Amino acid sequence: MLKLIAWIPILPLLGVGWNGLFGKRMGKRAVGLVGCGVVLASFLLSCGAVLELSRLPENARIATVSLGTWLPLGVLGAHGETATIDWGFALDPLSAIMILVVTGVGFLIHVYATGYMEHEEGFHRFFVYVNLFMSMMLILVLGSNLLVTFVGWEGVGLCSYLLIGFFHDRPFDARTGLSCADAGRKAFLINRIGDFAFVIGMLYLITTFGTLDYRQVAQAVAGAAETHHALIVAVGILLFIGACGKSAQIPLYVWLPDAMAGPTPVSALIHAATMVTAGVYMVTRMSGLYVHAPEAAAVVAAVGAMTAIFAATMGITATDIKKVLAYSTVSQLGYMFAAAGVGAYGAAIFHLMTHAFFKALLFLGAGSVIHGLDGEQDITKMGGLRAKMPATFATFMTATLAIAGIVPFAGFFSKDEILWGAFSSGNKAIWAVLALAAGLTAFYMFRLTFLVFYGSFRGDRHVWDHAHESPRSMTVPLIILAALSVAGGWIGIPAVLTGGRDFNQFGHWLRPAIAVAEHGAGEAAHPAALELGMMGAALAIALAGIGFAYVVYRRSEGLAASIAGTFRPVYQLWRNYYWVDELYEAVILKPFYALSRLSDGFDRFVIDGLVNAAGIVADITGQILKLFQTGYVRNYALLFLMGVVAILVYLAAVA
Amino acid sequence: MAELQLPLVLPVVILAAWGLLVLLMTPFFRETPRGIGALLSPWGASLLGVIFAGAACFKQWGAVAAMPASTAYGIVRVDRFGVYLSLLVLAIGFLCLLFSARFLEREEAEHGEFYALMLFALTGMVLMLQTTSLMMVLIGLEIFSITLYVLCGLTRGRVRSVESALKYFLLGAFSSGFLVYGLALLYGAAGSLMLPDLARAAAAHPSPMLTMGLGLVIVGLGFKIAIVPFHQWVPDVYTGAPTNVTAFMAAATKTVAFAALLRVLVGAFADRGDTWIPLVTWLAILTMTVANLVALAQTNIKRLLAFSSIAHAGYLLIAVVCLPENGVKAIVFYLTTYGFMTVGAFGVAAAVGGGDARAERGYDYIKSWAGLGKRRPVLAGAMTVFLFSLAGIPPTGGFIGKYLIFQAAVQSHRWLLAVVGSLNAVIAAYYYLSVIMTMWFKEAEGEQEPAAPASAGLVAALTVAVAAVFYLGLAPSRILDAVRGLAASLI
Repeated sequence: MLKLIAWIPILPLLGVGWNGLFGKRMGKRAVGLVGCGVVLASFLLSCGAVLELSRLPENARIATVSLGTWLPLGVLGAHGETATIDWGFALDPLSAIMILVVTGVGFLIHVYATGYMEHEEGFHRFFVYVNLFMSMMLILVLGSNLLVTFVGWEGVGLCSYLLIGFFHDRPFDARTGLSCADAGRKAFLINRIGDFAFVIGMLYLITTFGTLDYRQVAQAVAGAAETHHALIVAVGILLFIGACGKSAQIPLYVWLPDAMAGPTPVSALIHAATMVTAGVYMVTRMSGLYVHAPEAAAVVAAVGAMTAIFAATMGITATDIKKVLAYSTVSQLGYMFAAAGVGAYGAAIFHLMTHAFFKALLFLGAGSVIHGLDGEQDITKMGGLRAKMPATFATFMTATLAIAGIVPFAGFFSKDEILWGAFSSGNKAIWAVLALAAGLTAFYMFRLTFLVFYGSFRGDRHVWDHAHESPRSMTVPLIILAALSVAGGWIGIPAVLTGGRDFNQFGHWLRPAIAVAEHGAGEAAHPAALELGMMGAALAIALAGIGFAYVVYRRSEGLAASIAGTFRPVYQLWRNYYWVDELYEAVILKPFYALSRLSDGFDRFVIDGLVNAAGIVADITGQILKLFQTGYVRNYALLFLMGVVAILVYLAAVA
Repeated sequence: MAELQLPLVLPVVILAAWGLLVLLMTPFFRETPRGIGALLSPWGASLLGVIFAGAACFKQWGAVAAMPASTAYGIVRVDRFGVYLSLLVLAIGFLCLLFSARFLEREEAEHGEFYALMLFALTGMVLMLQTTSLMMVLIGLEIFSITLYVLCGLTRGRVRSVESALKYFLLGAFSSGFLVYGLALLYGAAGSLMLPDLARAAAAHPSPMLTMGLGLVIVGLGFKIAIVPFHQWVPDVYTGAPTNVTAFMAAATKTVAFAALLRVLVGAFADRGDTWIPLVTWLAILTMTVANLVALAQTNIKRLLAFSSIAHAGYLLIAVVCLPENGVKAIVFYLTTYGFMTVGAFGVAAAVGGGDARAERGYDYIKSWAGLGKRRPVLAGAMTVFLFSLAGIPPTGGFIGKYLIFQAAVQSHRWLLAVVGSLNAVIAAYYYLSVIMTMWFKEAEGEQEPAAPASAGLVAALTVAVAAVFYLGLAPSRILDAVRGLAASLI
């Protein structure tokens, strides 16, 4: 099956073709069947391929397939040959985990969407877009070189844009006046800014090393680590800027909260479980470069940690259920980058996987709540839903415990591995920030859960009466994801918890695919007691967050409001998300539009008059005279002449 | 010299002769018949003429593979660079002709002369591409310019069309003056207008006269390419001209004028890079930035595409100042993708907006494209492909083109241009995306006249263009092999 890995992204593409051509005439059932079927097929193929991969000896676990040459690079490669880029796909332990997560979680979300989108217009269009997304995401993770990855990278951005704008005519955000279509456009454009850096980074690599193939780049970088150090650092930072766009890190995170304008399954699939993790994946994929660029890695770690805490504070005050989760996603992605930045790539990918489980579950649970409440998303108008939606509540609670990092849920192990990675590599400041963010995470997640599922209903009586549990097609995926959120972390249990016996399958599996810094062998120096102590501390911080949330939102009515009143400036700052959107608007967008209007005005000044002047055309001669006399062509000619004079003066000066 | 060197000039001869033939046919046809009879009308005949000329070019291509360049009569020069671009221009002309018949019929402007004029324009273009003498460049340029002046005014009942023709003519004549003056100075300095002689003169004793001549030639060609500040005619002329003519003008004129510019700068004046490289660098930056900023504010699709075409001229200029081996390859490839996506985009604009008749009722305005995705999904889908390609998003040809240009810039250490160019690409994505958004995401306001059904010719042209855009994006190796090493055959 390793020969067939190119089919993994192609299968969903077949669904795109089929539903795109015939979807309009087929029933919703058939459309859903095709849409889910191709993803299931892709998932099964992935399982088969990964199983086969696991039977290979550890050092030989890589399978590559090339669909032919894509383009010659026009530079000489490592061995003096003309370098080319292939349509190449590669399956190794890292991409194996990614395809399993993408197709597995993707399949569950597809099934969920058949229920969630049932009453929406454009059902088949939705499945065309999400299948296209799946295909692009799989190209992204399976690409054997940066350029193929970049095709997927742009492709997922495009699908994300299409899906955010799916309810294009609906207004989305009262505060910023955004419509859903605007939100889509915002996402696309901010991603383009990141891509711009990404492309420049790729060009640096090509011109220096003559290759974009991941393995060759890693080798070339290792060989040139001394001589090209500055360049390697620059590439690392440029690629990371690209990752910041895709994975919503400071300062390019602003699109993700607005991306919640899309349908909830899309938020779960694209803006939580898969696409937004592409940046983390790419940085891990390029670990061979980052280990030789410690300065760039430090930037990654610092930005990640900053984002983790910054986004967490905004999650505390948001009142839209999906926005809380969106800021939470930004924050958790920051965690992953911080892990990658301190060299704990395995922990980053581990957290990426467990996060995919519990965050997809949280979004789908939120979708189930929204579905049951007829579209309500404001958590201040919810409450007490535990009774009406038992399955949703139970699964949502599981995911909340997982993200808060409570033992033995999945998030505990991955988060602990990140914290330990930061601590043991000597980045104590990063550790402190992440630990604090962990406490905040526990707090805002339990705030959310308490406000939605406990207490009494604060919304419209009528909505309460109609509140209902979601259909089976929605709850079954919830239950499966809940099981994964519990048990998903058990494949990466640290040795210190098992009496020194090593059960950390996840770490072993990934080892051949990622680079480790040579001086990173310091882990052994720490006593087991310290590691256990740190673990306990992390758990204590999470429990403290939960306890605080319990006191504020369950025990004492009105405490939340009085705290908000006491710390009014801070509350306002967080409630308005630090006014970053407004800042961007004022500092970048407004001047930009002004400049555009100015340039246009200059053109119009000349042109509009002409359109008006060209009134009567009966007499060509008269028209010529008129044009010359009233003189709008004259204006063109004048500018033309000024250009000529400028050029001649310049040349005279040079000559 | 006395022998007849017909095979070398065959494409030009075929185009000119066929043009006359078509002109003689026109009195017998008032309109293009439906069905198979269409093939015997001037429309069919002109298509056939282009095919024959293309076949002759293919033959040339085979010949130049064996022998790098052949000259005939001292001034005609057949080399890979010229032949490749001739084929490209013929392909562009063919696609435009394909959808012209029904388009002009709807515009009530189907004059048989149109087809003859198109062939004459192609004659001038091929002439200009396959020569080594700047005098011939001037003659070719005037041949196609004059036919284009007429073609712009083809829908002569419409104000905008006439205005377009007139303005193009006036400013075209103005710019030709500079070009001729530049040639005179070059002749004065070098005693010849043959490119190899100019190269020798430039390398030996660069007199001020030679430099000034070069400056004026850049101006004259820059007008046709639409370089800022010689660009102001473009939006007016593109908007006013019948859309099929605009498509041809936008794609083909830029190609041939760029070819001439490359032969002069990268070919003849290669040794004088110190004089023109800084100049072209700043022209590139100015062109890209101004065009993209102004494009942001456009509300008319043809104006938007006009400014976009100016911006693309700016991207192309980046590669002019790069190392020839990478730069020329990037330009030729870019021109190839640019040709197909531009013809495609204007083709869709022709089908949706119609020509001036409807434009005067506001049909070329982007807001009237709202809901096109629902009304005409296939047309809107094709337009989406072209716009993504123009924006440079993989896996379209436009992506590979931009990639090659920026790569050439990086390889030549033109960091400023690489950065400004990529930033411009980010800006440009915004306005292309706005059109896509309008088509798919906006509901049509009020009652929409159903767009006229797409003619078979249009469907064929758009299919070819979409296929080409994807082919160039997904498997560009063959074309890239074909355009490798063209820099060596410039003069």
